[in-house]
Amino acid sequence: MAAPRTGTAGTRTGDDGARQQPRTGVRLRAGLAVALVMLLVLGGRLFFVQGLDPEGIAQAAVKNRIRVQTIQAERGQILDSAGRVLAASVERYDLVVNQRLLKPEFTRKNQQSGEREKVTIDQAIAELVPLLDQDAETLRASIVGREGAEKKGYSYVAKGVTPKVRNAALAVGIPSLTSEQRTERNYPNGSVAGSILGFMTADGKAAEGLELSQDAALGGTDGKKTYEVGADGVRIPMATMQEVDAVDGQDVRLTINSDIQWAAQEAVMAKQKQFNAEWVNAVVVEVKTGKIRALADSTTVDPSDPGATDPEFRTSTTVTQAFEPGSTGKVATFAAALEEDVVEPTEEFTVKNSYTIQNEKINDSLKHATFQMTAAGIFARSYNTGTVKIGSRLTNEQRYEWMKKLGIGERIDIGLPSSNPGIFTPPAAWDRRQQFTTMFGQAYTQTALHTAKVFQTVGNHGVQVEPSLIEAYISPDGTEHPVAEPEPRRIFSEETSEEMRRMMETVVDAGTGTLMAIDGYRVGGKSGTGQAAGPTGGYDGHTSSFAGMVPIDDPQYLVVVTMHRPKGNWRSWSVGDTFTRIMSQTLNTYDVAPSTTKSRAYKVFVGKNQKYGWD
Amino acid sequence: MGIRTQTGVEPHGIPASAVDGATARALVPEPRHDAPEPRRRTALSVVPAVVGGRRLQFALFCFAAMLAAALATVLVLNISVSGGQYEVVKLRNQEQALVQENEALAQQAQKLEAPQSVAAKAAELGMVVPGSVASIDLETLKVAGTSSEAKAEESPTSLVADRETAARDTAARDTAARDTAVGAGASAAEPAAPPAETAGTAPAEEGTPATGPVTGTEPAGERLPAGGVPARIVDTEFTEQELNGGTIPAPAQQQPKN
Repeated sequence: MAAPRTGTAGTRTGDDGARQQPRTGVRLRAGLAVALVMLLVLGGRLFFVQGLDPEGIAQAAVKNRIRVQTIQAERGQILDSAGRVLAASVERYDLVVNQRLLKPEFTRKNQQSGEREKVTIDQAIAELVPLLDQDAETLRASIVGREGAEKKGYSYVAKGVTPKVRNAALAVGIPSLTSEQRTERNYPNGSVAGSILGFMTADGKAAEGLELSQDAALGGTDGKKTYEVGADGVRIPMATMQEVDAVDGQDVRLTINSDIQWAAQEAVMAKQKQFNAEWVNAVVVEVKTGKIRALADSTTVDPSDPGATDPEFRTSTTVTQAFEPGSTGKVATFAAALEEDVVEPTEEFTVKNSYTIQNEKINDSLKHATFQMTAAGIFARSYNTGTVKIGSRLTNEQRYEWMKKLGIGERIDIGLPSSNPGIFTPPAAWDRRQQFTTMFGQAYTQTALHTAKVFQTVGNHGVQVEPSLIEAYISPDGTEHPVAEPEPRRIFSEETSEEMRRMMETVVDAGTGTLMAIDGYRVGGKSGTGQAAGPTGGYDGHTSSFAGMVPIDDPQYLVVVTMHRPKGNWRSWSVGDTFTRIMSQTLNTYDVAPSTTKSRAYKVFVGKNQKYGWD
Repeated sequence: MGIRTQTGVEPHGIPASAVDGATARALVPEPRHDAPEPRRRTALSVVPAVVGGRRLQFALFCFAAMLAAALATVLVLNISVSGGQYEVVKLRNQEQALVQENEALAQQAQKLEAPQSVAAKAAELGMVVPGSVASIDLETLKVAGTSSEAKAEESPTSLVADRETAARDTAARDTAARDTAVGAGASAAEPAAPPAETAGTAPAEEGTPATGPVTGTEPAGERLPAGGVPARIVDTEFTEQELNGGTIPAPAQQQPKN
């Protein structure tokens, strides 16, 4: 490159050269000055940025670009024993409008023609009415604001709408209408099993039932995503990016069968209506495994709308409500007496209407003639007098020990919060009358689940298996972690269990439980009508119940139905049809084969005649 | 570049300072004059053209071309990467839409298979709770239990569902229900007639006559054409009585032939 020879002359500072091209020189100087000033400004800025607080400014810049996003861990589902969804998390949206930015008219793109059109707010509200299922006035109040009221910058139009509704609502095109995503808990079965599942608060916190007790497993751990965005909000591809994965919650599979649960709920609701009872509940348990197939309540919380139900019924009454069991409590007395070998089922007794022991007069609920009957007959006809005769052959301590072994007065933990242990004081604290009343199920309290546990032990050949409600936890990758099966414990001998089962069959064949018979199956059980203590301490109501098992020669399922404080005449109270309805459904669902053997019930009365009236 | 060094053109024994100009040839000093010297001018001479210039230009051109190519590559790469980013966003949105649709359908299915929904649908179709069932022990050929016919008034109860509908007033703004209604209408468009089947009720013990049609009030329904070929009913309007509140008519039941 040859140097421009003529050009160099201009730069010379020689006098004649300057005179020759004065304009060029000035221009050049000015340009140089401008360049210098700009350089100075840039230099100054550079110094400012790099010299004074380079780290802070760099940080501020990164902060401006960086976005941190919480990756919400997906809450696990609650499933029934067949894997059907009882509770699942779903995506929902809240629609929010800024009333201050709202104009009476706006333009939008017509979906069909693609042209821009003008729409008035009234027209938009009219379009939203069918979408959001609210009337125009309510919508107007939330979107435009009430007449004369101050305009709100943040007004909820609708809460918890499905993505579909949200998309349709946004397509209406109101400029200041936005949506906010949130997760909501969905209970597709509604109030079926609601009092077991519990519910969540509006802001997504576990509040009750299994949702609360299993929160640690269901909840999982939230993750985090850090990335940089450009001015248009799209991620800068090469920039820093950090991702901490969320750990999703585990699914929880229950032992509950939702079909049986529903049938049981229907049955207890019908019973509650019939006698206008305070509550009716039912427990269905698989005898061999202790698995709970249903915990039904006449008043069940709908987990999507817990506020509509009394707090008393937000957790199943089968675990929260303890009551004096009444005659179903005789099972413990008779089983203990048989196990201790102080009585035989066929032993003969003279049973009067009333019996006085240690100055305590024990009466039967119904006046009757004096009968010559067997021990099994006393059990079948549920006579308190005969029961006390047999029970008093054992010491108080012996009976207390046996009842403790059966789980009375102990908290049963099946994973439901606020389970009631009941009240069962040791014999030292018993008063003179209490030592006899405990023989026929008064003066101590237990829940319906306790009753089920006692019957499970007696029915399952004397082997106790703790009742369970949770079958398995399922990790997000699909691996199952079955809950360790409870250790079976032998409480009674096989012989005691067999004799007890035959006595229970006598109850259904010829005793107080004839309404509980199911065609084709051998049923055994025990009815009970206990007195219920009021808040002041005196008895002012009753609890009527029946617990039964099928088939009684080798029980598969047991159902306990309890009705608390029914109204009307006690002689009409029966939960028999409720029991047979739930039991039939259970037998049907699990394909339990009908019994082919004949009943092995004991004789009720001594002698040939077995047909005596109740009077 | 334009500067040529004097190496190689060193004058013979003459001090370097005597040579003026970078491009001067070696000069033989003129004899000194006493008179003041006139202003000396640098002697100009022709400099041969730089032979290496072309090569240099080519190298420069190559450099510029490479620079341009590199810049273009980076540009294209950047565009494609950020284009990919936009594509990712688009696909994410599509994925989200599909996930939402899938979720909505799953929820709808779960709602429909909830026991109270099934019971309500069954009641709507005029189905009733079965009577008691007898069973035959295949080993002993004995019949256990007594079968009884189902009664027309024994439709499944819906206490659970009723309470829910009573409690749920404005909460139900889920459009799923409406979608379901639309879907049910569409699926009911082509019901296939069920194949002719004789009553499955087992004859009860002690010669109880076999039970009749399941529902007493139900009309016998359409007899299938002789030969038992199931007629495919398309576009047939059913009477209200046939539908009995449902969307497809109940299967016709035939008496067993003795």
